[in-house]
Amino acid sequence: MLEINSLSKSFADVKAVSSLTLNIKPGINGLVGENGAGKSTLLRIISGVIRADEGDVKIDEYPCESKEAKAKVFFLPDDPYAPRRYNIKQVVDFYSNFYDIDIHKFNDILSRLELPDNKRVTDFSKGMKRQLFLALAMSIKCDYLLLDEAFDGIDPVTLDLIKQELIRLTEDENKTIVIASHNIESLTQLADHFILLYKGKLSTQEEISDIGNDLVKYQILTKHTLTEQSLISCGIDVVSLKKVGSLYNIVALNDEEIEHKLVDLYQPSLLEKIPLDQDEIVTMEMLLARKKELGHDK
Amino acid sequence: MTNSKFFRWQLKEWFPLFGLVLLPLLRIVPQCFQMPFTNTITAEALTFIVFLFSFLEASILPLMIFTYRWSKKSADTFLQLPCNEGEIKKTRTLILLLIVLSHYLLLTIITDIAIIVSSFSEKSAVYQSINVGYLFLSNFIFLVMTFAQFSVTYFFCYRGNNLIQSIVYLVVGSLLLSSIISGTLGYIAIFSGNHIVPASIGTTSSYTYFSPAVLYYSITVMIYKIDGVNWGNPQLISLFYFILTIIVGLAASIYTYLSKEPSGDTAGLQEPRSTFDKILIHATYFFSAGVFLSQSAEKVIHVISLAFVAALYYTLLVFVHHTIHFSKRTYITFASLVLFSMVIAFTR
Repeated sequence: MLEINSLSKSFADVKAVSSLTLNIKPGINGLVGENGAGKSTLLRIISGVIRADEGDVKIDEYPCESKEAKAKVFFLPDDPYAPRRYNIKQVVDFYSNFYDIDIHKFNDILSRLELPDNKRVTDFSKGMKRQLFLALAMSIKCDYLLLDEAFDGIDPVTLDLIKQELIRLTEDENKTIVIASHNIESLTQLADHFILLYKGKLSTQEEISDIGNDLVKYQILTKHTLTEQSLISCGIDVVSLKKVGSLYNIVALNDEEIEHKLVDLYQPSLLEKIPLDQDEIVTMEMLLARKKELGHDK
Repeated sequence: MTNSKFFRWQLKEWFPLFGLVLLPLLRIVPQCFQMPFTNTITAEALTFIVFLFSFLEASILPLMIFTYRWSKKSADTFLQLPCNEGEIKKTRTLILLLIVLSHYLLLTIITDIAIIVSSFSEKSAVYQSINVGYLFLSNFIFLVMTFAQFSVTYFFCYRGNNLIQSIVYLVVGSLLLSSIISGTLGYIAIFSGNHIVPASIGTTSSYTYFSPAVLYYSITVMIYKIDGVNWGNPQLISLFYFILTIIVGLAASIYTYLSKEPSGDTAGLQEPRSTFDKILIHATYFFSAGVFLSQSAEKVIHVISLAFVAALYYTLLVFVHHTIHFSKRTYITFASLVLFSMVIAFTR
């Protein structure tokens, strides 16, 4: 169990993580948020790289900075490091000093990735380097995997392979995986739970099946001009308003009266409730978090 | 105390450093083959070359201990490894200390054998003039000096969050220490009426605190006069200097070795991470200016020297902060100290 209690961390005057309390659940957790939401800071604190100003993180009852806790976690940063002259074998040798690595599995994944054996890892492209370290992360025998910007620069074919392997890890090996990413599409295909951070605070933590239940999307065709302000003034909690051609797309907080309000006010020639797709839901939740914070600040 | 797996890996990584010892060996071995030595000076020079090499190693190699902290990337990798608090720093410290001391011991053993064998040869000019006890005593003293230099370098390198900061702290820290020591020796000279000490002050205010030439001179004087119980001032100062070296060295190494590993968010950071680090450069200017002003010279020389040191002071601030735009507090401190020292220079 990975428990985070009242965690805070500031950099100079900026609060990167603010009084965050959270229990990370087994399975794949998608950690999302805007730039500067505190995702990487949170992962670096959990892995014991940086110290929190307040609060604590417990990994199976051990404080995250303890050797016991660190042995249970593997953190893959957004820009992984390898000593300058190291090739793949040397990188694996380095990590095998500290972690139990399933070499057969690593070689198996590696054989499907087609990475050059003899080349220095520092000469790899960003995507190749990420592939190597993801293969390594997935082969390390630990209970928790923390992956920061895990899918950056990876081609679709390899990404598909990695996704399958990550799903297998949670099913067969019962691992808890936290993936921080802006690739919402990939996350929605993988994650069992979503954790949404906004300015270092927890905005939402939900099962994938529950996320977006509070949102509704309408397509509307009307001769009137719609603005966010006009929708808000008639009591609609609008999250997003977009004009696509002559159609308006409205995403708002679910309300039984919303359809009546739209009909009464705008006499639409077309009003249709349409489903939100998964990545759109996550984006809307992020937007909603921002709006809530702005409303709270006002 | 240290993680054995990490120790083994790090030792393997740094093993090529053991090869460094080949450099002085290339210089020393031909000397040994030229035995018997022509005079005692050759023997002393040989001992000094060994010490100088170890001293230089002890002044540079501790920088390598903290390379993993010089970028966010490597800190993310190293600080997440399943090790106890501070184990990475401690392990790397022990290995580098081992390398430096083993080099010194290896070279010393080779040169000692050469000197002793030579002293037993009746053809040698140094026949019976080498006292083995003194030779070993000087070996021991140089070993302690090497350790002390390693410790002081270790302490100042620890302050840096990146390579440039580490080098700047190393330079200003050594200057600060030498200024403080020079000042202390100056006071001793005033109180004891010793006229030899002020002459050595200029030499001790050199780049490093443990200036090898001064040490070699003073310690040689001390050990060769020790059985004559001629406890005049030069010997007393040498002894004082030696004891101070041990105290400073031990304090620096114990403090740094036991210090908590700084949080990974300071890795590669452009700003100094603690108040001590922030005031280190200011303090160095303050004490260095004090030493300059304490020496008798023309007013013009004082002002020109201080202007030069102030320019250096500003440059070091730029290096440490990695910007020319300092905080108001830094600007005020800089301007106040420079102005204060200039006023003193003009008015004295």
